[in-house]
Amino acid sequence: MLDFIKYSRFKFRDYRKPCVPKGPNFSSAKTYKYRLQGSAISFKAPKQIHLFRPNSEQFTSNWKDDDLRDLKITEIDTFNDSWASSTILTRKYALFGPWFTGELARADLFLAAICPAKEPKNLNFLHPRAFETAISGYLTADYGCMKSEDGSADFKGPLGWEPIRGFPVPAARFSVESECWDSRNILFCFPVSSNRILMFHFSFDQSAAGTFEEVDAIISPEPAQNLIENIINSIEFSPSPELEKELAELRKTCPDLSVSKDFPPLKWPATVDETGLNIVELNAERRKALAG
Amino acid sequence: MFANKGVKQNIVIAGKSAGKVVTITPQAEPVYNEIRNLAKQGNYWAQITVNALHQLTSGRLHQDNIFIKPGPVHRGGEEEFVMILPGCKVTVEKQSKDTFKVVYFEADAGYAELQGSKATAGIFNAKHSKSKWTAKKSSDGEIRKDEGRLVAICDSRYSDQNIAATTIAPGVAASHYSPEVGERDLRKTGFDFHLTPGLGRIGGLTKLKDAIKPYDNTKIHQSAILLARSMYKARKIKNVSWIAERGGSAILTQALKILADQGKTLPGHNVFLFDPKTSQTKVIENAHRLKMNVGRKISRVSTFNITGVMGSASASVYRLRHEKGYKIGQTVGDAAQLGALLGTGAGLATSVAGVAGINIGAIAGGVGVAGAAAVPAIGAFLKALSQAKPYIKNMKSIGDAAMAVTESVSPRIHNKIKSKF
Repeated sequence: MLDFIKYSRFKFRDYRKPCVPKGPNFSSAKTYKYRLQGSAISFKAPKQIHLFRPNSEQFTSNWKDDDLRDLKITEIDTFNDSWASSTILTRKYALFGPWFTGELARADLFLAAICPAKEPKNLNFLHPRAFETAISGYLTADYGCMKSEDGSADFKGPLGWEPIRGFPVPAARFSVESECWDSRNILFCFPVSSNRILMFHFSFDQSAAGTFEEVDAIISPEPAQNLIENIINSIEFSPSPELEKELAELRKTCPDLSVSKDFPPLKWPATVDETGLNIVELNAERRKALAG
Repeated sequence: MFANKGVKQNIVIAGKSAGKVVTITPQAEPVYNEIRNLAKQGNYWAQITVNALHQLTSGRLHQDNIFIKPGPVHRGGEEEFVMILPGCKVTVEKQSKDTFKVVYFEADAGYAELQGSKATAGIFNAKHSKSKWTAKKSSDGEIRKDEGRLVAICDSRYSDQNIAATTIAPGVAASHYSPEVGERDLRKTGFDFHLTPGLGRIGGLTKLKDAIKPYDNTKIHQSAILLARSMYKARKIKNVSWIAERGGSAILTQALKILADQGKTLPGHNVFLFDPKTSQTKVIENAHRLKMNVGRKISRVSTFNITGVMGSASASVYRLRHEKGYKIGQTVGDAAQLGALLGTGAGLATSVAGVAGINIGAIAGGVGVAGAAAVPAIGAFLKALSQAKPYIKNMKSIGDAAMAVTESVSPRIHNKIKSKF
């Protein structure tokens, strides 16, 4: 009951012992409902109010009914600005340590609809193979192009690929990790129509140095992971009649709409071409540059 | 079987053929070898250490070399001093026959492993995506080779690279872009920052010693040496701006001093101080020695930063004496601006006090009128409203005062509110 005193945002001392931080309470989370291109989506996410915490504006779209036509390239930082996004909601959670040790961990949610900046003409994201292509293209444009000075890729992904059964559209969750960026991201993606993919992008990190194992040994990642897990489990999607029709048509040619069981990590570093979908291996690009 | 091994001789590590001989005691040698191996593998901080020891051969040990702390002078003219280098502290003895002997090598065992992580000082690259800043440590300790790169030198109060990046981003943006642009362009290009984790705030009124004598803070030497190296490595990149944020000005001062003492120059690079907590004069002095570009404005100081406000005046006087383009007109201009800044502070105090007085007066008056005349509620309300007229007139000054307070207490909220207008 006194958790709000025990786990407060005030920091008066340093704390270097293993501990479990505490984040927002999920049981009091508000349900958000949006109608995206006719289909209804709902999920639960708590809101934490931050006053003197830098960079913690939390964006809530007040367009409950959105056709997702307004895309921006500035919200996500992809290679060559090849992907565009339309942000729907962002949440920033701070997880506090016990007894005035301050903020020890963070978890963020970024919900957006994404699409290549040049919209592909004849690609239907509802088809599981096209969806997978799009995901690999997006991940490469976002994470795969980052490399260290020695030429090795910064990020690894997708890891822990998990197809979601019982979802009306092909859906998958997976993670992308980088130790040097101290960044662990969990993504939950599914196509919301034939030309937009909805991305629940979660990230969490802790204020400790070292590898992920060392960090986890000092500050437990579980509260952040549980929070993310709870939000993911609360996601519901009900297709609009038009989308249902489209899916039924698609089932005629492709009876199984679920994504592949496995998706091995992509070979990075790599970039994407101007469509944002085809992966260009760096060596090939360099060869082309030398030849031309 | 009874081979006479004898007493182990001191091993010569540098200056065999020319210059002053540098030897090392057999006890300290294994540590030195370890660090030399790391240097050979390309560890930049280990290279700094090895080079510093080798440079002893030149005998250049000037008194003002800030990372050398003189120790007690022993009998026979032997002098001991401590060199503070990244990841180690080296005790060196200057012997009577004009040679140097490394007596003691105190290496931080975990430094090599920690170097890759955010627990040690170094250059980080910050990037904005999905409405958050993230940062990565540069593995070679160099900034991104982009023309006109912005590099912040952070205060040491941040425990985490991502927290540092999110907190300083508004400051970096405010130092380079106009308030109207805000963080927009910075988010696009990203920036680099030099972070010194975990030493707490530097300078300011609470640590006045740092503020007045930024060279004397030994805790930040390691960080300053690393920064000096990053600055030197970036010398060929054009138009780099080094922006010290709050207590980061102490680290920048030391780094500039190290470079200037070695006779290096950084022409075409800019220096700026965002809310400096230590002496600004020393930054300008060293920036001039390095032939760096000191703009018309050297710093942006908030009203509440007393060390910064005090420093601005002396910096102005220093520039009047030492800078060609900085004449009495500029001094007057800066003084006027400083006066305005102080005026904001004073006005802020008076307006807060005044508003408090008016507020009480208006309410008392309103209640009094309503009570005495016993007019209906709506009348009382109108009456109170008319009484509160001066209150409304003061709204702007209250607003300005509140914004000034917010800007210095929480720049982030300030930007957030400003973005709404």
